[in-house]
Amino acid sequence: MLLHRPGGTGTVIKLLTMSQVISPARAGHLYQQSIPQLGVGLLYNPSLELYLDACPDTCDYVEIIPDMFWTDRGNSHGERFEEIESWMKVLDKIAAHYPLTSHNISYSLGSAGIFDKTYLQKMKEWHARYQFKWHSDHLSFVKVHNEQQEEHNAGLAVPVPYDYEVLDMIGGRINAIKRVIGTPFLVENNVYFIDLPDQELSETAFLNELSHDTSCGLLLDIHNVYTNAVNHHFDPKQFIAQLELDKVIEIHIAGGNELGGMYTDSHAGPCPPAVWELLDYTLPLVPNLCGITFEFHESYFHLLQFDGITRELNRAKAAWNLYHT
Amino acid sequence: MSLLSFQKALTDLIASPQLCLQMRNNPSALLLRYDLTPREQARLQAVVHQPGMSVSCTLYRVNRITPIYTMLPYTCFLLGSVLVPLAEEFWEISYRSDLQFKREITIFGEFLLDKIKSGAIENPYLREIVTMELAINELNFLPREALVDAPVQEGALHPLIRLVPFDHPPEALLTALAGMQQPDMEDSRGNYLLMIDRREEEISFSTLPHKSEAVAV
Repeated sequence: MLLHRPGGTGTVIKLLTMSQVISPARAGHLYQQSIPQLGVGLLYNPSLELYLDACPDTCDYVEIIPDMFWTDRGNSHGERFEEIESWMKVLDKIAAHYPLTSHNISYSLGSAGIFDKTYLQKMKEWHARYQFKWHSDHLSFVKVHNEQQEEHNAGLAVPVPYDYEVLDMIGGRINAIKRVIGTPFLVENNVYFIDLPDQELSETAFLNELSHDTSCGLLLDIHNVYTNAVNHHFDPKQFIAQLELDKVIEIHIAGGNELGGMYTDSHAGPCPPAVWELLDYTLPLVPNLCGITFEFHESYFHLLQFDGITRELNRAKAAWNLYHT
Repeated sequence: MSLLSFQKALTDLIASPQLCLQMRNNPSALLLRYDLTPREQARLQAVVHQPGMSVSCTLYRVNRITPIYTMLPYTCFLLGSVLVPLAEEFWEISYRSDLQFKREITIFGEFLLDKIKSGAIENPYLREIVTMELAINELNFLPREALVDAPVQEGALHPLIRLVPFDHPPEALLTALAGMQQPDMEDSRGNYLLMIDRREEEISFSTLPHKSEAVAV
């Protein structure tokens, strides 16, 4: 675009786009990989379709959970993944406007049973289709197998014991993912409500060793840290400080609420003040951070509405801009 | 094998508060079912006494009932306080959930229809509402664009249309349910057909007199 300089000299200058002004191809670094620093994003849920239409400039990227967009008929079916047409139309519309990242739930890194290679192949196709900037999954398991390797869903993300046996197993899975998909892969710190006694490693040591062993990055879910700190009575800042923070590529922020006397990661609307405080604490310590993602569950949309979502994004963007402009 | 067995045991406990109580009260009998190291046994015995296990059991139930609540809303409303005991009975039978909404809803809907047929659940409106919500979900998961212009054999329904028999006037019944009101229309029983049409972007509903099924075809 061309513009006459105000002041009347008549000189013609180029008007830069906002992205050129703010960030000329800034990148974070994870071992040998460069990753674009995207800014502030939203984890997609169906209540966001109208929001993204109405407020297209408030977020810099969209993170999706691929599993939401298909029905998985199970391992025994030839055409296993049945993409849901109405959802795919929305996804393609989002993909035309935003960079995408992928937040998976079905690699089920911590499952002791068979590793799902058909799912991995499906994700390889989707990486080719949507050019995800990075992808991630959780330090937990959702798929559980019996002795005949029949699979069912655990119903929630279940923590793994932080033992060397599990470290080796998950490291093997991440290496298998990396052999098939070259996009940077991140592991998210987990929420746990039960405390497994007599573990060989702390969660932070486990995550640090996992990164060393596999060159994976870390998705630091600050709300998960806060949730665990509230429920298990530890200092969340100390937890964060124990991580190798140059490996943190993405941060999740969210809200939660109480259930049965414990605080849960229910993604219930806006972030509590303690999460913002932890974000402010963490940001100067994570030089390779590429995105801050705000997560909320669609059933709590009424607590946020469009203004509330924009408020959370703007607050995160203000914090991001302190270190990325 | 041991870690596999540990994960199976832990998830069995999360899925069943009754099993947690059994582990508290008589752990040795329960632990015999699994191939566990002494440390894994100690871990399981410890976690069943933690408040976090109660929360995990609750979250499991919340996560399993969410698809039912989301996709069978009128069915849930009609079931009222019977819903949770029925869901628990269903989970006992169908414990191998894969959390795929489509399959979970279909299996639960069929479970309810069997219960209605056998007389175990008595609600005059439930059969038609369960059948209608199953039909809506089935249509919503179909590839509309691929099917909308599909050739239709003579005498057959378009693949994006479903006809659901109703014993009560569908419009009045659905209006009551949309207003979260228990219907009261046993006096107006009859033979009706609700046509559910997914050929357009938005799903549409219309009532047909029972004899005019041929019109829909």
